[in-house]
Amino acid sequence: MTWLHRALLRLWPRGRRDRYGADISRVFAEQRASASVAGRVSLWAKEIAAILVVAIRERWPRRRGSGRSAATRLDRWGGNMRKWIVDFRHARLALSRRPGAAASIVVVLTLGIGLSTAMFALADPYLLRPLPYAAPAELVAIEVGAGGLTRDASLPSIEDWRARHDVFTGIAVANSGGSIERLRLSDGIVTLISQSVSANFFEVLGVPGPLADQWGATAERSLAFLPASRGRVPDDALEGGTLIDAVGGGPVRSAGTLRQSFVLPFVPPLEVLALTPAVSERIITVRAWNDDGTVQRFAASPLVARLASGVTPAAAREALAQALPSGRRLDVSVTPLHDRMTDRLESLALGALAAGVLVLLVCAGNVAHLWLANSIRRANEMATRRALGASRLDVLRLSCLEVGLLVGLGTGLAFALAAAALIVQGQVLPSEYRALGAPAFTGRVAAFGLCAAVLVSVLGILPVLFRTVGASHGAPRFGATGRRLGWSMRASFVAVQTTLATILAIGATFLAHSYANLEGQRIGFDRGVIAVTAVYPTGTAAPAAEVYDQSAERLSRLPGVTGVAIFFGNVVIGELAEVVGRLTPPWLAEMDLDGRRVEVTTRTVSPGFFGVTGLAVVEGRALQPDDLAGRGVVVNQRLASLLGAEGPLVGRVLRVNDQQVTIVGVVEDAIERRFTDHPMPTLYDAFGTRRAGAVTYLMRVNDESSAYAVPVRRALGEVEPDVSVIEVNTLGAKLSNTVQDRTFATLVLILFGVAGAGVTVTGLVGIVAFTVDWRTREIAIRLALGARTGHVRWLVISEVVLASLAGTVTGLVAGRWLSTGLESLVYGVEAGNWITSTASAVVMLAVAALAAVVTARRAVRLQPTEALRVE
Amino acid sequence: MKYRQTADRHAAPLSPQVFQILVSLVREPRHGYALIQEIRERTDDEIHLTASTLYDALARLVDKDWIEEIDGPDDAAPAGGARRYYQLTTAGRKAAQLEADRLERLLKTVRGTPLATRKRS
Repeated sequence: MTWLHRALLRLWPRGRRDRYGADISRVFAEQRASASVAGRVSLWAKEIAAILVVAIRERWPRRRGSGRSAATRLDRWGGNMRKWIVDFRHARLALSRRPGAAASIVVVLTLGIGLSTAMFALADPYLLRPLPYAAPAELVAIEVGAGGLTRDASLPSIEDWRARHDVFTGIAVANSGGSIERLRLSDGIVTLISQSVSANFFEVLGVPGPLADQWGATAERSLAFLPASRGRVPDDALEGGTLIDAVGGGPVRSAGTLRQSFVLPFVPPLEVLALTPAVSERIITVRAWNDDGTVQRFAASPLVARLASGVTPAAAREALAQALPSGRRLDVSVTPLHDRMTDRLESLALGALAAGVLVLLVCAGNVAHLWLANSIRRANEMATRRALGASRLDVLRLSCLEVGLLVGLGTGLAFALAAAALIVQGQVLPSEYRALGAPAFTGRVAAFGLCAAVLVSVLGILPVLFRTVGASHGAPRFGATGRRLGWSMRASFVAVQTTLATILAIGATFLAHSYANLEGQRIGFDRGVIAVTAVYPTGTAAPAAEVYDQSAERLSRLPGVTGVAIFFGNVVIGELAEVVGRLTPPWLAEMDLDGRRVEVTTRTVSPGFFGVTGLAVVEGRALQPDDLAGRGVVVNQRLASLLGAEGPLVGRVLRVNDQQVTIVGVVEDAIERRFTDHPMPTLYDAFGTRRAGAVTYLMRVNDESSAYAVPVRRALGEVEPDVSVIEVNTLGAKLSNTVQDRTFATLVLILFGVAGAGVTVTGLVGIVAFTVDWRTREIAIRLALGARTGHVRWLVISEVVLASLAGTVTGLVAGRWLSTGLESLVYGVEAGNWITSTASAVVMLAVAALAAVVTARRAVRLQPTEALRVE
Repeated sequence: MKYRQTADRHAAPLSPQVFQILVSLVREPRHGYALIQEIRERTDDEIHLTASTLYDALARLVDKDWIEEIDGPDDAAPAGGARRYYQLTTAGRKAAQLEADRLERLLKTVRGTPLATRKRS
């Protein structure tokens, strides 16, 4: 520690140090040697303090008589503080004199900083937040394709890959697809989807896994629940070690619930709630071969691997791409896990971030605009201050204090707004967007908000600073306001602001229109019909065919239900398609159409299906009970158009799957998957197989907002105890869920549009108020000379309206031009829609005129003497 | 109460550390560490100087000509080289004497008051 003592002594002046340094070090060492441990600590503290005191005293000696005695310095400090306090009062007074102007700047800051911070929080998990795994940079995702694979090739084996210790330190497998678990628990049968993963899954990720003695180590199959299970699975099942009876699959043992921070390293097509150890691990499974020996259908398991030290993803790919008998190499890709997990949403995150930055720039521009207008308006006041002896620094300090006050207030409100926006986001954010954790108000987000506040303050005040510094040179110039603030200056302020506001309002309206189209699109079915998706045991345990009719009859007796139909399959498929699809009979059938074989979708429904769902019959009739025996079918318009218009369609005999059927009616097309999908040629029959694993009961109800889930589950359970009800939801909601990603992207864009438009509209109101304020003196003189108030009011309003009109027309043209760029990004809106853009422009014009009317009314009400004193 | 102003009493009171250093050097010259030890023992551990405080005070006393540096005895030189010894000058002795007188007069002013009978715990 002697070095530390010597280093501290270097703070002393060289002469003193050279003369006594060695002696001091020696004596200090002797003191330490004779002191106890506690005494040494005390000695060090005293010695450091003494060295510092001497260093300060010797290096910065007090000059006697130089006016820097303690009292004088205190006086000077007090004087400076008094100056700041007086300036603070002046700033507060100046702002309170024009509360409207100050409020408009605060609102602009709140909207701009608050919403851009909320957008950053949305993008943060995908762009900056590290993956919640140990050393995430070493993790890669491996995907295998079937290109080049032939029947004679040996499929890659996971054991061989794991043996490559030079490349990987571990490889984990998550088998493709999920399985439906039907667990008999205290609350009845709970249905959830599980995913099988390799036993080393948690070890490879480097995260705490489920209970080690329960995970794969028990006689029964283990089930580890994901954090999302809380509240959806009874607590007794979530306890580790609990034995659970699984319907149709023997008992399973709960391995407990994974930590709240755990996230799956891949995004499953369905919401997985539990993990189970894989019985077999396969990289790729070929489901069907073509006649030429190539792969027709296959399933590849998602793999997660940890690279050995120094191995790059490219090198790992090279090591895995084995040569195939076809002469090609195995189609394998190795991607950093972070890229793989974020690639689908990274563009949306970047879009949200870009939108946030744009909102921030719009906000900064508006603040600068408002503040510049304010400073020009107060040019005479500042000139007077300079003439009375204020320095340039004093004037700058006053301006900075005013901006600081507003920015401080605006930032505080902005943080509150951002926190509120995050709460709303938490409610509307689809689960897919929470794969890496929900957006939260973290330290990083707060830091972004603070940086945004600083950026907006600096950008906002820069023009004013330049102006103040420039204006402070030389003698104060009185009357500069009058010369500079001619008609053209005022008009240009209003016109520029109106142009900006119109462009952003057109964008926001355009996006809102798209959102409304997305939500309100005609889907064929009535949106209010409630669909109950139920899964029954299949195979030998399958219920009798009559169970479905009995269940429908039982549901029809529920209060508020006016009709029930059965669909053997999952209507409006949505996200459960993949799993439920395996339990339903094949939907695709081949139809012989004038020698061509056409693929059509077949739907087996109960005869009342069309009446209950509201699917309109456009020709012929709906299905009737006797169509079961008569093999009558109903086709949709898409299939009808394929069949051609030769002769009447009703009564025409078709050959489907080598069986003859007769068309009895044509119904309109219905959207069954996603909004963006085209309707498939569809054939509805009443005679298809009824022994389906998945059935959808469709209920027409009086009040769709009532809670039907509990009575429906009870009613179906009374008929068949082993039934599990997967979903009870309206058709409209189910279809909306299928386009959640698109809806959400549109919502983000709308948020940007609304934020931008809100900022600029507030700025517009502020600018109009400023320009009218500028003329207060002129108005007073006019009124004092006998002008009529109506005439003066018209003079002021007409100037604002004319300038706004010019800005609106410019904004309309620019906004429509920019909207063409949005056309490809949003749903169902054309940029050529004049009504939307013109309405936005008219609203902006009205806002400007209204602001002018209100401010002008206030200005003409002032007494001339008061108005002349305003400056 | 107003002090009687004499020529000798113009000097400002000495700090306790400086006074103790002067007192310590009254009997014999001492080196730095010996000064610290002697002051510590004599003041019953009340004044415990650190090395930097001591040499800062010594430097100022040397500048005032109240003490002077002298070479130590040859047999006292440790391995690190010869120590620097300090001894009082006539001015230093006078300054110490004046400070002792001032303290004594100060003490007289409190004798006969309850403060003088109070014992240290």
